[in-house]
Amino acid sequence: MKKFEKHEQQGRIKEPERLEELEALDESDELDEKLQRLLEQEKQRIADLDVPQEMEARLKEALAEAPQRTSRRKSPFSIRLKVAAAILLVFFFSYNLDTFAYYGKQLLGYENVMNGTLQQLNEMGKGQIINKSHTFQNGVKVILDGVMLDDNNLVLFYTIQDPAGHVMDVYQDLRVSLTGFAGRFFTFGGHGEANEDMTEMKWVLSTHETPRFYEKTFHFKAELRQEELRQEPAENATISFKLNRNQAVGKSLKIPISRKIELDRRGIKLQSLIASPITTVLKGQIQDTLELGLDYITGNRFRPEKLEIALIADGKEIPLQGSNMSTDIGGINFSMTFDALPKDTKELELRLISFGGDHDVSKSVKLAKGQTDKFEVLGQEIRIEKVYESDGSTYITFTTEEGVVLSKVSLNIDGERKNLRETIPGDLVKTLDPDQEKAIIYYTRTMRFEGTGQELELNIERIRYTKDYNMLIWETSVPQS
Amino acid sequence: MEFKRLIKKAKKGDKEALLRLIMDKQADYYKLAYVYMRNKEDALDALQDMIVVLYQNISKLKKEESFYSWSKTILVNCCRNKLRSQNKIASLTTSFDQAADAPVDGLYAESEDRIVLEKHLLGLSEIHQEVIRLKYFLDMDYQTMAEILQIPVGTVKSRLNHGLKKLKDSLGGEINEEV
Repeated sequence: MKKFEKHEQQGRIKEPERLEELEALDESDELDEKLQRLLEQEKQRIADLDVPQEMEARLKEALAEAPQRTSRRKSPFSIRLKVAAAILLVFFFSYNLDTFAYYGKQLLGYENVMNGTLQQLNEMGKGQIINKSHTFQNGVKVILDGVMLDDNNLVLFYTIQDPAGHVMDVYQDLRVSLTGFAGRFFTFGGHGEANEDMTEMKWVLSTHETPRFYEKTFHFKAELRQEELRQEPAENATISFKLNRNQAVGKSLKIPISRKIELDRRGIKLQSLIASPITTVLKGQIQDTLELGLDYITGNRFRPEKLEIALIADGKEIPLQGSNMSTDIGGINFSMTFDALPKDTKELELRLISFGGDHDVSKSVKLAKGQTDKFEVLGQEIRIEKVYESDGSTYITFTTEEGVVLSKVSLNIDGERKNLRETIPGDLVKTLDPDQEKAIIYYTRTMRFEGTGQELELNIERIRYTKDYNMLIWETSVPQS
Repeated sequence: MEFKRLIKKAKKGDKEALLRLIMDKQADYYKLAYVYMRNKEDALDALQDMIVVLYQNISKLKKEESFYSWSKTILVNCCRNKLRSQNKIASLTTSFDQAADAPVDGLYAESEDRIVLEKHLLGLSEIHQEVIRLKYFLDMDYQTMAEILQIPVGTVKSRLNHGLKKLKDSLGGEINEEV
């Protein structure tokens, strides 16, 4: 199962550099206006928001399950005990500044969190051991065990230890970040796993960008914020380390791809494939600026939302680790990160599995109460099953293939435009496509619009869907060294 | 006064009284949770977390008149915790759909702009996002924001300035930093 995934985006907006800042100033008036409009719209939407009817019931339910309050003991004795405990904790507080050890050692305990490639590299003793830690006042310890570097990313290995055995709670209170040269903020994705007695959790994070060649010192920061209670300030720890590039895990193979695939209404441009010892990264673009601009003018904007591409090496599919999409002045860029290629890979293939997004359309259909209808929007069939009134609202029940979403829709009732108030989920029905012998899932749901009237016209302004392709889009032979 | 009576009862552990205190201002609470969580289900979850914390700690509340700002601070913290845990667990598995909101017909409609705004807001740091959401989406004044976020008014203003600038830069186009 491939899904176009998006990494955590935190901190991805960087301080602009001088030159760009000047350029940005010229547009700022227009931007101000745009920003104001966006903020104003959202404010209006929030103001119009109805409080869900179930709120009271949900709060009651939570209260019913809430454990009894722990009564506080008020004897002066307990206060004295607390003071003593606080002093003791100060002694335990430590900040470990080991000089870093050189590699050749394995990182232990990460077997379950490492993907296959990292595991192999680790077994070969690749990477740089850091082994620096910080112990927070509550006894929670964070250890940066090691890092691995290649041409695609920097991988961090760290451990959270909680002697109290609540590590699954602790990690949620712990916020980690990584900064490089001049405070450059790295974004990353990763995953962790706790041991059985909940005293330790191992994490592996990979950055989305590689450090620059001049970046040597990095700061791994952990912020521990205890309790929901505001009385507790956050406690910070910084573990700094120097990256030793001699210990980078090895050379990468860069394969330029210059291939544009025309689809349905859009093109996908594949740009490059970088095969490093840790990962294989495919980079590409969905539209260029000119196209984006044109679409904007013609009102045919398309926002890609899902792109599935499979990387196949000598007939075997390489697992996808994650992917990322961003819009910038160059267009819509994507990068997909796969596991590293197997050693001695000879043939590489890329297959497009599916591609989809949100399309601007403008389709109006007259509907009548009690009647069914069937029509197509951009090749997607929409079946109107039922149109009815109830309690001052107009309801429209309709069916599409699962995955088709009417992302912007309104109803003109006797000439007055009404926005959609809610969609009531319905049934999923699986049927077999007679030609392709493939299961198709249809989804039926009901839209509610406020107001009733005689003349009904449904306006579909945007539609979102994904199309399956499963076709070969690129293949090559890997140069053997 | 009704409020004082309810607070007194709530402090003694009366669940019904605590529920009334919240439900009397249900729209305020719901919308506060909503601007953080950005969808109904998560907002209700955060509110549930909040009421449990309130129930367990209300006996420690000294200034009764500050119940509302106290409880909202707790709500904000519940939301932050929820968001953080979502981020961490989902960092590699968050589907693209989620960023652009779950695919629900038109529910997120008018949504083009909303998706754009959210996308850029989510790129900001937590502290910048929240001041923008509170100020511009909830129309909250600086003083209230300072009380709920437990930071000085000056800090609220400077975060807001920074946040807006970053949001503007971001909307103006992300700069590709690839070397």
